[in-house]
Amino acid sequence: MSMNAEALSTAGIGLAPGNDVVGLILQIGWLGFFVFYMFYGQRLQIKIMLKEIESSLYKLQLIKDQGRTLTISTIKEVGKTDGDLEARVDRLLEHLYIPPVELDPSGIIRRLEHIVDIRDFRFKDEVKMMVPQADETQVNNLTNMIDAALALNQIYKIVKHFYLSGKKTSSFYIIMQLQMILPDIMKESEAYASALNAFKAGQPIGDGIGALAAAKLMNGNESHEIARDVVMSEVQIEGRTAYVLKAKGPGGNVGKPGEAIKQILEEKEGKIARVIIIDAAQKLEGEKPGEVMEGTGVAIGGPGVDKFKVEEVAAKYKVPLNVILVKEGVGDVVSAMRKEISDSVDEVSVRVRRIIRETTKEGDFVIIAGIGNTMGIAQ
Amino acid sequence: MIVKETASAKRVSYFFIAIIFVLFTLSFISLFQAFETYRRTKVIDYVTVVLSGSAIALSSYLAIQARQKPMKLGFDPQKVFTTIQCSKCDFKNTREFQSGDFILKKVETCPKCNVPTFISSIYREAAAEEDK
Repeated sequence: MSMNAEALSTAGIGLAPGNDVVGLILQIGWLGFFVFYMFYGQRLQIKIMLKEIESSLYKLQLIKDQGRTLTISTIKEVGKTDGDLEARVDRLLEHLYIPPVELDPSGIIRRLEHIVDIRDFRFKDEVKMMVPQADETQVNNLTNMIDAALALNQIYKIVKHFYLSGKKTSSFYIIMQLQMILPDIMKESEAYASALNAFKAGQPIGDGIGALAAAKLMNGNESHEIARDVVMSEVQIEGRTAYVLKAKGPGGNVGKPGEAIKQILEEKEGKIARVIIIDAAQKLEGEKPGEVMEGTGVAIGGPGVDKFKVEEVAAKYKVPLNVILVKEGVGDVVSAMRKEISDSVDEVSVRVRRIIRETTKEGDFVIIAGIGNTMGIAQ
Repeated sequence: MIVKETASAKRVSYFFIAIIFVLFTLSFISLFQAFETYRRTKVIDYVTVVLSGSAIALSSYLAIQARQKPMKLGFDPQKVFTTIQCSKCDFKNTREFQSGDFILKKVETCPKCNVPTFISSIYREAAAEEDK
């Protein structure tokens, strides 16, 4: 018998060595494990998944608690007070937003806008009550901080709800679904955690790239407020008159760009050659942050009120809509603006000019709207 | 105040440790059996040795992994920079972000042409692992 054949014939004899008692115990152990796994495999898998979720939930709790602590300490720092603000902040962190009824969709946008406005005013009023001497920029930044802390609180509560439901019912499917989306949830939570530091310092965030591009175009021109928290400048670009608008900075603000675009189009009775919207867009895996893309349509995030208004008025006057998008990851949107994203503003400017040159005539009017949170970006 | 990562974010799963312990013990017994077999028959049972060795390596690796590092919560202060630019000449200066900085803010006068400079950009350098 050759060496190889001999080795093969003895393979595994260490694991099942004939009459050896230890070998027999091992065999029974393996068999027992096999039978156990056949009947209780799924339960074991549930236990393992629950452990993983529990660990993430623990992390979410830490993020949420630190977010709350940071928010309270910042409010105290800005307000120069040692007063008891915990109860008030906690009440805000539990604030619920109930969307309007969808059974009768007629007028839903108007109702939705009303509810969103009330929520915004309420948050700002609460901040003003806590920090009466704060200026507009500080109020906006603190409101943004509370919004981020509220988001962290909501994420934690929802994940905890599904974790406990899954544990209580031992439902493989509830637990599996939660485990599947958990990496995205964690990424989002870490982004909000990072956002809190940026909001505290008033640094521009990734979402503000549209506002930054508009601010660069407006630089050196007079601007005035045309809708709530939206400023506009008349800028001469390539022989055309551009109405450049963005949210009013440098406080954290998104304004009402939809209302502003609607107002201009109504005032000009649709005599606008083109509307160009600049905004941040979520990148796909493999795409680089700061990549610039073009498209057609309305790129305005949020609950949809502003998007609806622009689509409605543009369709009414048959005004072409262009979008310029800057790609960024989930983590980049609300954290301090990355260099790659900040640098893309020159490319955005080149594209704006090219679109204007190629699609409009000299003497035409165009609207350029820089969408996004204008924190840390003036005009 | 900047919130720092807390060391209390460490957590060890005892369930996981128990599994590693069982795996390590079984692998060690198998290796011992292979050794006993060799002593008796003078034939090396390569399959058992390789399997046991791999299982010991795997359980050691898992044990090292179980020594969890503190969790990264995302509150790490990031290095943010401010670029100041002159509106007239090509003067540019980059420094660390200071509280109160915002883009288009008028700041100190240009050392070259004595006109006010402004903040042209505020950005952070992303860590390499962010893109992974």
